[in-house]
Amino acid sequence: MVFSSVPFLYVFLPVVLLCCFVVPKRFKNLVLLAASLFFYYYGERAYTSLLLISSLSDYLHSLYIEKHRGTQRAKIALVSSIAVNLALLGFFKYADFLISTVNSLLRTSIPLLKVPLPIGISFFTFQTMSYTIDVYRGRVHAQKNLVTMGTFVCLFPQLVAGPIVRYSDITLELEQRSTTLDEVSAGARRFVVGLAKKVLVANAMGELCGLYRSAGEQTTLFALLYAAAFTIQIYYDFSGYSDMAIGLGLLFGFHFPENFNYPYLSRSVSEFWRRWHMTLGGWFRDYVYIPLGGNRVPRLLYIRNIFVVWALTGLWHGAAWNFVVWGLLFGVLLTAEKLFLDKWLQKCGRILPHVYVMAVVVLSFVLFNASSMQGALADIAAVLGLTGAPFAGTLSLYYLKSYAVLLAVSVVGCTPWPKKLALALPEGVRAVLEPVAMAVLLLLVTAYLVDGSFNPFLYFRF
Amino acid sequence: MTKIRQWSTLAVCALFLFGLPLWHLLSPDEEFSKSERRRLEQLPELTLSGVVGGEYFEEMEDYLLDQFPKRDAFRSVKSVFSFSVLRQKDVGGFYRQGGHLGKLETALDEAQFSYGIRKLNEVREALPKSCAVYYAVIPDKNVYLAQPNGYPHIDYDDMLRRLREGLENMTEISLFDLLDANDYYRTDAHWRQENLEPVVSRITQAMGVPTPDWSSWQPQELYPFQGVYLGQSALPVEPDTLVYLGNDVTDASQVSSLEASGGSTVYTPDRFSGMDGYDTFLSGAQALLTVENPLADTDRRLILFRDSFGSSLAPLLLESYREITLVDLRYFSSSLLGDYVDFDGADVLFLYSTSILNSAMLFK
Repeated sequence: MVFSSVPFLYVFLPVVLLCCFVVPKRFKNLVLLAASLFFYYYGERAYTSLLLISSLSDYLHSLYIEKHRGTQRAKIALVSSIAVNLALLGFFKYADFLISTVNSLLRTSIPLLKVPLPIGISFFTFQTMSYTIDVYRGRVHAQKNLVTMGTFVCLFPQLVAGPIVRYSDITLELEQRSTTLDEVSAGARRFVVGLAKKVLVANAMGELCGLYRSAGEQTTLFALLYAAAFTIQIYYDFSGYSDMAIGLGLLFGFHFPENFNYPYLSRSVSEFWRRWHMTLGGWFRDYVYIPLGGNRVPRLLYIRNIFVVWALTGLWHGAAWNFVVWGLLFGVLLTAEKLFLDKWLQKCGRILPHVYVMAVVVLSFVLFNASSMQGALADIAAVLGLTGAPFAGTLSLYYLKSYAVLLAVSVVGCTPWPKKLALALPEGVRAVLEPVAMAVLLLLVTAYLVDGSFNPFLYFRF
Repeated sequence: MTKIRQWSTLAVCALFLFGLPLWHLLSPDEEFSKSERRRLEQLPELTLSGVVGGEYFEEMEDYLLDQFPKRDAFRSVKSVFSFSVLRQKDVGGFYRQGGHLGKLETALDEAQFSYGIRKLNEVREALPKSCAVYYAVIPDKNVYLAQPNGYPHIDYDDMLRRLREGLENMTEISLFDLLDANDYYRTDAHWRQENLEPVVSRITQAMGVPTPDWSSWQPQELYPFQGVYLGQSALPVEPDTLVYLGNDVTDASQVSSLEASGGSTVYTPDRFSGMDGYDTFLSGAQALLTVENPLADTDRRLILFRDSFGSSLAPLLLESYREITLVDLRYFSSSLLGDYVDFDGADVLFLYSTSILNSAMLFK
């Protein structure tokens, strides 16, 4: 089930909200767990058991770790828990990548397993791994209540597409939570804004990307339009989904961590990754980079650590070489920035660093969205005008005019200006404008959903 | 004030989240959508196998979308917002220009177009030598709407040139210079029958048959005609008036169909209120139709290979022929022609719109 769908908005969510509202406090987690399992089952019938296995595995491992804290047994249990999670992830997500790589290198013909990818597996395995590691580190106590533990893992607002929530983020709220008018209205507002970002902007940009792929016209302008559209689509899609998740969390009394902080304002790649998918960056920092020694090791090891993290980041995003290259590209740039480029960027004023970051980000997303390395190189060449194709054609000019307003609005929406403008308004004006804006957005979103069909979230493949 | 704002926001959200489902529950389900010309999904049966297999959820999703309260109004909201606020030039390929609705066709589908030429040549080759064979390409609305107004479009000159070069042993009858956008329905792809006088003249003169006296037609009006583009685009455009031209010949003529037993009439206005008002002409799309004119003072016969445009043109040619056989290759396999159609000595006209030629894989 996706948030941006009629069944979720107008059946699942109202029913769950009602149930959570009427049941006594001691049953709220049970209701949320049941609803979350149904939510997952709706889209992934066969793999709901996988979610349960992953949850149960880390529940039992963590209890064992806590019981044998400080001993070798605890360490073995930690390794076992991580191995189970990585084995699940490895098999369902990377098996065919490994097989096809072996086939390419060794010229073998091992048949692919073609195992369907469970929705959200990259998110929930990372979530449960962080829980077990934090229990081992003594940061949190193991949760003895299976329903509470299950609620943490399966909570539907962030189950399939993040943010990656750590157990320590919501430990108290799992046991004892309440909602205030302030939080519920903020949650509703955040959810509606996220929904609008996804349905009104991201989906439309996705259509433009699809038009580029299906059109016969090969021009630089069309390629640039495609690159811009995808850059906007992925931000609005992912941040919109995070907004919805955070908003829903507030409705149920949870405070999830922020995942995006206007990343397209960044003036260095380092800053970009401090603003983009922040919970993933934080996860790799705390569970890979720092255990490897971080930047408190000799320079060569420090560079190694950066490349390990970024290779893994690339792999996390997809089981294909273009994702690995994408991750390593950022590894190279981050290393360069840390070693010398950052100092140079700081002397370049305010505009040039932005241009540098946006150029890198846009091209990296072109690489990211390609179906293969060859496709990626062809797409990048098209964007840079290296194919010898004409600059513009009938279709590219037509679609530029057709999408001009939406492109302009969505570029502005990537900045904090709309929010600052809204907050700067007198409270009396806001008291009228905010509900009107919510009504308009909900009306438009509903209109788009009723008119369209299935519009899956981009990051579902992760 | 803050509390007012917060409560108002929650009230609006609650109104949508709870109000719309309640509205749906209280509204009876509809059987079909006239604007979309299709049956609507009904409430699926809840079965264990459906839940386990997932079909129940898929059907439920389709049902919820199809039976959403005021579905057409919501679709119109989207279309109007896209055009008026976002200034998009088309929505889902549908555009509005000068009060007309059109559907974009941006490029020639090489595979389908080439297949279409091959298919027509195959049919031509199987015809007896006694047949006089012609072809005419019906310009779709985009010729007069998209091309002059900056919308992407097929290269129609190239299309016509390639047809001239590719179609063998057929005489071309050119129609592109005879029409403009106003000769088509505003809300539909088809041309208006009452505006086809120049087309009828050109075709009858080219084929050497008498041109009917246009003043003999008695127009009958049917309103509202909600053309195919109206429903699909969900744009607020005034419906059309469908006009069909009758006279003694069309009144006396008998229509027989391969697919339906019994006879029928040239015009079937009782079908106007059905899924597609254009079915008024010769009862709509059918594989093989024969129209016999008992008042004809000639023995000439016409075999018309056609698409839906032919349904409104054929009645206007009836005066010139004793019998017109209409073959729709989208539904009738060309390999069966010899079993069902007598071509000997007949005039043969291939009459297809540019849209059909661009999706000619439909030909059997």
